[in-house]
Amino acid sequence: MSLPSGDQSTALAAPPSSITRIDLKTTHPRRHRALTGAEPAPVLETLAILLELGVWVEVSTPLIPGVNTAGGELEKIAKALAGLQVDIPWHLVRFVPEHRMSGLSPTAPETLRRAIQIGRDAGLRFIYTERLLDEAGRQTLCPHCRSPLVERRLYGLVEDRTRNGQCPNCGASLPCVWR
Amino acid sequence: MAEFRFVEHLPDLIEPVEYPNDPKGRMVKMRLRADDQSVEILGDAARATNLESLLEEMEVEVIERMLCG
Repeated sequence: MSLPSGDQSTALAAPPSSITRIDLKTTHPRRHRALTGAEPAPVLETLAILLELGVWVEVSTPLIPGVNTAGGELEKIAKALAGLQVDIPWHLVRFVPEHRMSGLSPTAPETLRRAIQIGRDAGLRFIYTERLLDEAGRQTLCPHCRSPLVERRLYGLVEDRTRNGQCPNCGASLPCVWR
Repeated sequence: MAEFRFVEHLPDLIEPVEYPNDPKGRMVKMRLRADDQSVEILGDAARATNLESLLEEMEVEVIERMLCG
């Protein structure tokens, strides 16, 4: 694989990794720099390299009121992820006000619901909302027949109904690392 | 000053159904259990610093906190 020299570190780090989860807070360069100290382009480039190298990639986005929940920003994030691969699980995380952002409010449940629809509209097939919208937000559904395949409690597994990486209802193969 | 310890899990007192009624995240819930030897205070808040300030004012010896959630 031919990579620009700046991307060699990702290529070197990827082989021992089966799975990685990366935060993408916004696609807006100035806002991303303010939040993280860096621009979002290298994050997206790293995601693309990891996917190309066969690493299973999941992405988290904390929904920060006034930072990434308006102005079409969630649509841009979802579109960027779907453009890389529609099977990337997108974890929508409730923001809680801490430290330098203690002046903001927590993410409203309605914002989470809207973000789920934004992700689906972009074509993403696996969207999770952890605890904010109860158990349904933590389920993995078959993207073909919508049967619940993996049920989770807040911090653990309840039941994995997949059979050899396939949906037991319709037989669809499910992308993931099944081991 | 209280000693902070990070633990894997603590029970929730604020449930997701209560979030819409607390849009600013100012709710703090506490549960107290006492026996002859000690008092256990379980707290839950969106703004962890609010809860920790309260606990420190009570001069508790140890505050257990989850790293996330």
